[in-house]
Amino acid sequence: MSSARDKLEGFIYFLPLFAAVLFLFLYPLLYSTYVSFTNMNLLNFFRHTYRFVGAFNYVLALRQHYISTLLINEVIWTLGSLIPMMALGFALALILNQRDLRGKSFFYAILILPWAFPGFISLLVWQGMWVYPYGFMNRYVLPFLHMPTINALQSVGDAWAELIITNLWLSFPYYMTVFYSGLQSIPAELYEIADVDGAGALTKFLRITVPSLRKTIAFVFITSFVFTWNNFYPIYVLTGGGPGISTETFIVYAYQQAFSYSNYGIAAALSIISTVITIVLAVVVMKFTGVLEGIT
Amino acid sequence: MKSSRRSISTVALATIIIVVVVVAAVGGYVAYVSTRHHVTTTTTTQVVTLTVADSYSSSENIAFNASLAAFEQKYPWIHVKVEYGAGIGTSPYTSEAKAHDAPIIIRDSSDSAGALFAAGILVNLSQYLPPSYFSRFNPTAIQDWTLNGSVYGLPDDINYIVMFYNKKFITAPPNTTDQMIQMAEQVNKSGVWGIAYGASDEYGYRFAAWFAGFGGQIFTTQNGEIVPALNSSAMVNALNFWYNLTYDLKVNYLASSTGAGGVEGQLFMENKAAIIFDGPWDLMPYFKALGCNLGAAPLPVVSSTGLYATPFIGSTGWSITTEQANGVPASQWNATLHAALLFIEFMTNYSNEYGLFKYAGDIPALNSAYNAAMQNLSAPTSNTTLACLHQVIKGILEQSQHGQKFPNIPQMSYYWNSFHQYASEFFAGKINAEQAAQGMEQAFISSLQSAGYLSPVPITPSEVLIVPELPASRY
Repeated sequence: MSSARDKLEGFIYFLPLFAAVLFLFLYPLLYSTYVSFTNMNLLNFFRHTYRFVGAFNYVLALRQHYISTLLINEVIWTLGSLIPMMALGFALALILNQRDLRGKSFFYAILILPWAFPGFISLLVWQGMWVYPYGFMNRYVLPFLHMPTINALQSVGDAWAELIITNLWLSFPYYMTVFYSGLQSIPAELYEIADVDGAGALTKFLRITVPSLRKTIAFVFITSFVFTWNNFYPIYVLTGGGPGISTETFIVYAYQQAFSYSNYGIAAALSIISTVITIVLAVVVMKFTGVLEGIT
Repeated sequence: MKSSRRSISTVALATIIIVVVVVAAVGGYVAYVSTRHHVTTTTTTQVVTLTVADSYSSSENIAFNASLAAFEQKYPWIHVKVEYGAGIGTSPYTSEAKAHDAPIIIRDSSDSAGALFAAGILVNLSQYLPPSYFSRFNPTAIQDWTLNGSVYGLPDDINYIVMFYNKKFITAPPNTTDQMIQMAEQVNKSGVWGIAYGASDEYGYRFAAWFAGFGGQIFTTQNGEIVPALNSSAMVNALNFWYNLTYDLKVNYLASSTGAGGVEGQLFMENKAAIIFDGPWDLMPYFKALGCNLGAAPLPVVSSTGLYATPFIGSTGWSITTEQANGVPASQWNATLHAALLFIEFMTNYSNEYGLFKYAGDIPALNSAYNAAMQNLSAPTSNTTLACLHQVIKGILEQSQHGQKFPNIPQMSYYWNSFHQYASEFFAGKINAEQAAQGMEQAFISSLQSAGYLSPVPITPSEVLIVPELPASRY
C-alpha cells in the first residue's frame, strides 16, 4: 500500500517535468513529423485543406540534387567549426591553467568578451567587417597577417572561411571556459607525483590531463556537434547559404522552404531528416569513440 | 503511522500546488485571451478597437501619426492600437492568422498581400467597395492589388527603383547603357566606382528591370498554365552584361548589401560610387548626404535591344484580415469590418497620401494626391534645397513612364530564391550564364510543382536557348 503511495507521490513530482517535456519537446517534434507527411503550404495551411501525402515530401527531398550538397555542407560546417573551436578552446585553457601565469583573471575576462555581446549583434558587426574590400578584416587584419583577402560573394572557399572564422570567434570562450574548469578540477598532486617520477610535459599531458578531461571532452564534443549542426544564425546572416547553396545547411534550407516558399511540409521533412541524421551520427560517434563511457 | 501521514500530506501539498499552477495557467490564459479581443462593447455605444500592423519607416510615420490623430478625432468610437515596425511579407501574419490572432489591418506590399489573399487571410474589398471607388487610384497600383478580379487592398503609394546618380561625377544622366558604361569608365579613373550594384546579392527585384530591358519576362502562359520563362537568351545576356561590367570592365562594385543602410548606399553617400539603383524610400538619406549633388533619372535604355530597363511598379497599401484570421467574434464582425473599411479609406485619402509624399517622398497612388504632388514640384520656389529636392523627385516620377506591373500572383513568391541561388553562383564564377538561366528556371519549376502550382508533367523550355550575338552595342 505504502509502495503504491510512494509510486503515486513520485509520479506527482515527475508531472511538472513531464508536462514541460511534453509541450516543449514532444509536441513540436510530433507536430513536425505530422506536418512532414502532409502537403501543408501557405494556400492550404489557413483553410485546413492540406492532406496526408505519405512519404512524398521525404521522397521529394531525397530525390533532389541538393540533398548531397546539403550533407557535404553540413560536414564541412560542423567538423570545420568544431575541430578548430575545440582545439583553440583547449589551447587557451591550457595557457590559462599555468600556475605561474600573472594576470590570469584579466586575460580570462578579455578572452570571454565575445560572450558579452549578443550573438546576433556580433554577427551583424562581423558582416560589416567582412565587406570586401572595405571591411576591417579585409582592410587591416588579413593584410597585416599577410593573408589573402576574403570575398564571400565571389568564392565558395572564401565563404566557408568567413563563416568558420566568425563562428570560431563567437564560440571559443565556451570551449575555453569548459576546458579550463575541467583542468582546474585535476588534482595538482597528480602532476607533482609525475614530476617526481621524471615525466615530461608531453607525458603529463597525455597521461594525466587528457584522461582526466575525458568526461569533459565527451560532453563538449557531443553537445557541440549537435549544436553546430543546427546552428542557424551565422550562415543565415553572413552568407545566406550562398553563393548559390554552397554554404547552405539543412536548417537554413528548411527555414527558406518554410518562410520564403511557405512549403511547410517539405521544410518539416527536411528538419526530420536532419534530426535523424544527427541522432544516427551521434550514436555512431558514441559507439565507436566510446565517449558515452566518459559521460557515464 | 507518522511517516504515512507525512507522505499523505506531501501528496496533498503537491496536488494543491499542481492544481494552483493549472488554475493560474488556465485563468491567466483566459484573462489574456479576453484582453486580446479586438472589439469591446459598452452598454451604450459600441466601441471598436482596431489592431493595426504598421510597416512605415520613421519618416513615413510622421505623416501616418498625423492622419491617425485626425482619424481618431473624427471617429471617436474607433480605438486604434498600432503595432509599429511591423514587417513586410507573408510570414509575419501566417502564424498569427492560424492562431486567429492576426492584426485586423495590415500594411504590406501588394505581392505579399496577394499571397495572403490567395491563402484566405485577407478580405475581398470588391465585395464592399464599388468599382468607382478604385478608379480614383493609379490604374497600375490597383492592378497590383487585384487578383482574379478581386481587390484585396487599397494602395497608399507606388514604388519602383530608379537610377540615383551623383552630379559631382556625372553631370547629366545616361540615356543608354552604352552611355552609362562610358560615364562609369570615366568616373572609375578617378578612383570612384562608376556603379555600385550588388547583382549577386539580390533576389531578382532590381534585376527584373534589366531582364526586361534585354527582352525577357518572368512568366509566360502555356496551355493556359502560367509557367516560368527565365531560361531565355534575355536572361543570359542580362547576366553577362552585369558580369562584364563587374569583372571585365571593373566599373561595377559587387556590393554585398543594398539600400541606404547597405554597402551600396554607404559608398554612394560617401562619394565613393557615382550610380546606384534604389527606390524613393531611400531618397531622404541620400538627399541628406549629397544635397543638390543628388540626381535621379529613369534606368537607361539597353543599347543592344533598344528597350528600356523597366523596373517593377509595385505598391504598398492597406488590407483587412478575415474574421477567421483575426479572431473577432462573429457578433462583432460587422462593426469591426465597418470600422476597418473606414480606417483604410481614411489612410489612403488625399490628405494622408499627400502627407506621405511631403514627409517621406512616397509617390502617391491616389490620383488627386499625385496631381497635387506634381503641381507642387512645378511651383517656383526660392528655397534652393527644396528646388533641388523637387528636381530629384521629378526624376523619380519620370521612371513611372517606363515600368512593368509587379506580378502579384502567388507563383511569384517562388521566383526570388530560384533567381538568387543561380545568379549568386554565376557571379561567384561557379557556373556560366546559360547554366544559371537553366538552373533558375528548373528550380522555379520544381518549387511550383512541389507547391502544386504547376502540373508535374515536363514543360517545354519557354525558349530554346540559342544566345544570339548582340548587335552593334558594346554589351
